Amino acid sequence: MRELEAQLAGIVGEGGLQQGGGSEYSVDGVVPGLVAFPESAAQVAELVKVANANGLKVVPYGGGTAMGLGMTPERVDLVLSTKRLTDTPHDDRRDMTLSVGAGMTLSALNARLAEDNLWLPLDPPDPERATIGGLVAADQSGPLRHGLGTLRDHVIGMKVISAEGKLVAAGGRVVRNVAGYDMCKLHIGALGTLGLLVEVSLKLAARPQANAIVLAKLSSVADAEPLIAAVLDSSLEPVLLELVSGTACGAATAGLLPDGAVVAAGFAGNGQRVAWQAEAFAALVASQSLQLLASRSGNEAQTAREALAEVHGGDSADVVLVASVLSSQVAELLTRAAALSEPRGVAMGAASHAGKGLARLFLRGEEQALTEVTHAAREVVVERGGSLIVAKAPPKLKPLLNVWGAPAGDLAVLQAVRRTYDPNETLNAYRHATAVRGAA
Amino acid sequence: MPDYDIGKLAQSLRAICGPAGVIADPTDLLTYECDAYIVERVTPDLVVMPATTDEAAQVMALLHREGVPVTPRGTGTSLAGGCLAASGGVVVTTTRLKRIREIDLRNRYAVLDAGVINADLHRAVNPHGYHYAPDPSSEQSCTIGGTVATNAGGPHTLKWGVTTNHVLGLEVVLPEGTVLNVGGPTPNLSGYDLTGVLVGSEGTLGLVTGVTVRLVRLADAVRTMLAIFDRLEDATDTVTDIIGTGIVPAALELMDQTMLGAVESGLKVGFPTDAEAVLIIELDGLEPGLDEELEAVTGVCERHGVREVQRANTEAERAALWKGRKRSFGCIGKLSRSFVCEDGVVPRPKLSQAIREIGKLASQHKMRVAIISHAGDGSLHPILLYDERDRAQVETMKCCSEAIMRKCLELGGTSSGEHGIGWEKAKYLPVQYSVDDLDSMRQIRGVFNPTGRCNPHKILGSDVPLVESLRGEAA
Repeated sequence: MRELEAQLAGIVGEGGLQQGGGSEYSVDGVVPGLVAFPESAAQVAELVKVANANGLKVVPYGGGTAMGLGMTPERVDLVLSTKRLTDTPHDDRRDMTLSVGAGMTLSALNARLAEDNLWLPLDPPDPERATIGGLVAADQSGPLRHGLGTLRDHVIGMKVISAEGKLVAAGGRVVRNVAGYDMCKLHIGALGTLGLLVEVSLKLAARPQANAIVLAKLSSVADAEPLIAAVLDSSLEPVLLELVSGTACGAATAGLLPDGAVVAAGFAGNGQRVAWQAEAFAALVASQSLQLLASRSGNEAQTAREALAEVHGGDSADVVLVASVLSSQVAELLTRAAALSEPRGVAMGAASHAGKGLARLFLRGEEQALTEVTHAAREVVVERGGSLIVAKAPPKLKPLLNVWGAPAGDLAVLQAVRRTYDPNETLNAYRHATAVRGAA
Repeated sequence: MPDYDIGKLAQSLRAICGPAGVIADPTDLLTYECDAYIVERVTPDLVVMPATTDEAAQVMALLHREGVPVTPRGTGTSLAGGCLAASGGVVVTTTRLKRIREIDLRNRYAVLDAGVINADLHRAVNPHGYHYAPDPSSEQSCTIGGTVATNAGGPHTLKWGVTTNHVLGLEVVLPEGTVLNVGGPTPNLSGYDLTGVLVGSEGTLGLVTGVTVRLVRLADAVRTMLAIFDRLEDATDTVTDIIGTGIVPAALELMDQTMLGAVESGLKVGFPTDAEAVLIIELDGLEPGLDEELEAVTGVCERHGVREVQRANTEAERAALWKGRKRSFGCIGKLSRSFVCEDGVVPRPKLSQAIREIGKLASQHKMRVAIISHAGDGSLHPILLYDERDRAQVETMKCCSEAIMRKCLELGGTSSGEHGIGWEKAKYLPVQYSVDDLDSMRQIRGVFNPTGRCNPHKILGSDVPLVESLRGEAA
């Protein structure tokens, strides 16, 4: 082991390798043997090559905001922090494309782009910590996905280090590209199990001229469905359409939202159009006899939007569930989930991208009750044709929760994909949906 | 010669799909010798047309057992030879898979058989105020399955995105005959995005039989204008600056002088033939703010010395502008016996440089090349005019086409923006990607199509032998 450690240190230099004990880089409480801070893709490639040849289990680590995803690893030999991978080898503001090291945080990137009135229109929780590589690996997004898309829409190319330690490029630096398989799609959301992300090329957008957010208060979550349906069937073009409910809201949004249920619609773009839409939405709210809570524009809208995005972080929750259902089923799901939680003494809050059918449930309570609510909620979701994963849970509960549910498509095909790219399970072993034992 | 008995195979296929589901007559088979890329032709041994997913699965399983090369095909509008039966064998078409299975307007999706024609989906949802956004020029005849295979684009995909941005899920018959369902109206949150990699895989990972697509609202209002530029560079700078303002036009199309001449000689829509370029700019969305954006866009044009901006004030005027663009291919047909439509992309700010360089290459090769471009995305279609009866012209065309594609790559672009790699462009992938990059693509093909027998020699080379006539032509 000493020799191996020396070999790794030789790659990243003295300061680039540290012992994992007591570090902030533990994964579900599993402390890594070593933590490396490579400075270049070439160093990542060397580290992975050595790790793969010596049976080390490697975990990529960005800002750590989505490390709650996945199953608890049996062991972590080497954490690869992307912290020092923050170069921008390609930055063409006029073309509105950029390639950035995996370790740059979203807020650092957007601060830079603000100089030219550009941005990456993505609003996951905690952009100060979340890195581009981590966001891509975990396919994270926020309320703006309703109108402005997800990383699937923004990523135009990437470089990854394969399990064998080779640098592999996918896509390119142009905004339209169908040359060969769209390998980027495979890596988005793969948690680095098919290759470690070292660089991402992105399509940027111009910052909107104007912003508005309008909030409607509901007396019950069920009232949300007619409002959401009406917005979607209207000519409004919201950039976000959120349904937030439960006691978690007030605290998480610093008083922006009351406890109860709120529908938020956000608009961005041309000033005249934004103002018109904010009024039209307010009129819809009134026509359904719902209460107009607030209408914000400009910087105030920006602040409200950021607060709504933060709700999805679920920081104070013990367990965070993410459910994918049809948009028309979101309000009902939230109602049912509340009904499942309450009798078991579980405090539940929920935030959802209601227009897209994605809901996060934030649970706090006793372990037994949390387990029961998770399984019951999954049953409700699966009955409706949807799927549910556990995005965060105490490590000791994870084995009881089936964190990934049933994966997409055929597990055998997914596992074959995984085996093809990483036969030794060097990359983020144990944690991905394909790591389910005995099903291969 | 194939090592299977074609007669027996036809019989077994008829047992699955019925007598009307199999084409074996040599004259009828000629229809399937190529797609819209007419440079290479191979007559397949048989064509089979399953009418259900179950039939398609039985067909694929049978062809797998018999070791027969399979070429999936929709209506054959591919411009890159994606449907060329490069190893002979059997063409499996989706044209009898025509059912619209489900339309859910509340949740904005539709589930379709792969053989549904794009325009038929429009007809089904337009009256309700919805549409399916990708609009390839072949939309009146292409199948949804074909657009999935190529990840097709179209003039209006600047604002709305290409096929991959609108496909939520797929039903695919894998090469050995099993049916795989991936994605759907509610995206699965665990596993890998197999839908994402299947879109654009050009039938090399399996036969797509069902597609779940996203529907979007039709725009409330639209503004269309024609901007005429004396200088090409002014037109392309205008494009870059419009995008830079944050206004995303629904379409931002460029036509060069040769193309304008072709359209005018055929259609007489009133395009100026003395201008170096025109832009067709379309803004859509809500009525409020639209005129303000139109003014802003006009301002950008003026800053770049536009000769004239013509606004379409009526639906008829708008239709006339689009007629000139959408029917430009037909006009080319009047100028020249044959044409090849290339499909490259360069970074948007390099568009004028690319067009100038293409002009130089055209004159070096003494070849007429007209250009239309989805300029907002940096995507361009050089159209090479030639006569397929003249061997020398065919060779010059191939040579010129290759020089053009290599130029796009040299400028930091890609060899296909929306038509796919197919047969024609497989040779450019090794220029664009490293050996390791391509190995990574080969690995995913290996998972789905380990023998390479499903659409052999498309995108990547294959160990499956080519038909005699194509040997020496492969990448």
